[in-house]
Amino acid sequence: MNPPAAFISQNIERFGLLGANNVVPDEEEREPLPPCTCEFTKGNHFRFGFDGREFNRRKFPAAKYWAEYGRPSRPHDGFLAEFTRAMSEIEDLYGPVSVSNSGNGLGRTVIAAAKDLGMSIEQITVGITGYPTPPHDEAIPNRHYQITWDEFAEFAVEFCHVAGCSEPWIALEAYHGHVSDRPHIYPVTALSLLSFGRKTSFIHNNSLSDEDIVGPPNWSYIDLEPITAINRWLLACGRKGIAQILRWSPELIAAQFDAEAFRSWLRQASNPPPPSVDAAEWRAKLGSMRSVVQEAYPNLDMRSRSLATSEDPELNGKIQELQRRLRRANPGCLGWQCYPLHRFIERLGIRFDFDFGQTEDTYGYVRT
Amino acid sequence: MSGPSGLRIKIMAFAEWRREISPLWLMEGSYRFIPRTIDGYGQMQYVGTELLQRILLFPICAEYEGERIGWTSIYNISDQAVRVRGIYVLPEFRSNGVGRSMVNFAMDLWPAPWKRCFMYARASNIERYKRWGFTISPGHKLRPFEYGEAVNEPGIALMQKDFRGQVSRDQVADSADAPRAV
Repeated sequence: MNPPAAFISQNIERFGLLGANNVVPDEEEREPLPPCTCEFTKGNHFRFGFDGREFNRRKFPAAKYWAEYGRPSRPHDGFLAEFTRAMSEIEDLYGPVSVSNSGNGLGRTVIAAAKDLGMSIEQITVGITGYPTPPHDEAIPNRHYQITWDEFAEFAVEFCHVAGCSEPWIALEAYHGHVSDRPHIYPVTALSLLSFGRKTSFIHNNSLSDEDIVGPPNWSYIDLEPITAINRWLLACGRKGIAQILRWSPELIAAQFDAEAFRSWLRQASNPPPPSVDAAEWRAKLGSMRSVVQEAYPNLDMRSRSLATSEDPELNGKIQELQRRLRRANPGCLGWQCYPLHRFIERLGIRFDFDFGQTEDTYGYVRT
Repeated sequence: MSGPSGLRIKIMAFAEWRREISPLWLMEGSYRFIPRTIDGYGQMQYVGTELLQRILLFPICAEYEGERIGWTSIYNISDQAVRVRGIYVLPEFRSNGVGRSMVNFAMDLWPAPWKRCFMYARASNIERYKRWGFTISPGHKLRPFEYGEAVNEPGIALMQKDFRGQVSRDQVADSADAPRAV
């Protein structure tokens, strides 16, 4: 056993995060969710949890949120092939599925792949009375549900209570699956471009502050607790669904990170901007995985037409008010994990032939 | 372990620690939300269940004549680096070497190959921590933080210090509170 492992081993029972010295025995505990009996991702390679429990919900405010990914079992075949394979595997596993028509590009990508495969897929459209409804794809079945704002807010409160998530837009996404009678695909991961506070929803340079560059590039793959809220909702309801479609398999994730569009973006984004360019502008230039998807589906309209990106001041006011209400009701549910990018791509079996910033030279290695 | 005369520094239970250090983060009324560790802008190199299987957290306090007067904590962010989180000394006991003694105690807990200690320092404390041997990490500068305005601080900076812990570890090895030596 190497010295760090020995030191850790000898002290973990007392001084580990779950060790006797560091647990808080009188914490108020929430009831656990039923055990996970379905595949949220292929073989449930993607796992999340709080403290010592996986596929569950936060027991108490200071519980540690974590997420883990499987390793690819073979070289990836590129994003298009892997995404198509993912959809095919989902059909084999679950049969006919539905997908949210919540107006974002990822939902349209799911539909495009389903069409290519000849899959049976149904759109679920949810309109909130008084606000625009996203246009649906006329070529496939669409179920439309019209609800009032108050009905939605009531659902969001219940969702918040059960899933531990105070984000109304996640609740709205969850509602699409709630009204579907099929296993549902929720297009809410990286491409949704949702932003929680100062953390972007996908990949983050920790050395970019709001208005400034404060250090050498230091990239993390971000796992936000709200992004797994739908999993917790599904567990509580005893339903099946896909809440992380872009993480379906390790090979699909590897294909995204290994795509030329992503590599090229990361290479550029890891270089300091010219002195004349401020951080806000530099950040705005940073692309996302959208370009990877756009390469695979060049004719797809990736623009968002969702309520979540609406600039309607009345709607945004209502959302903010609801969010405040949910946060008061369920504080401390905004955990995240920053997965160091150099470790993440190593796990995916990928190498980058360029410098993308701080790695273990600064913060040290982890022996695996 | 003792620093300045009459000072005793020891490891304490996290449950008490978070309540007692809460004024540092203006969280007296919400100390239950103080997490055991934080990532610190991408510092944490452990991921997934490693967070539970490999991080050691030592909440630390300083006592003077039986009264608790200072608090800090330290945990590993990799197999080579540790992070000091929170240094809080009651106002009437500041500038007496309490904070420095706590941080030295904290770093001395770690055997090789742990060799580097990080902290985020409020702007007004940077010169103090430089006197303790810390330097601003290469390429880093002040960044704003969540409650900076509330505590009248323009920002925090990442600081680091390379250390060797083998000698003074022996001094704490016979303490009932000390972690077990390798």
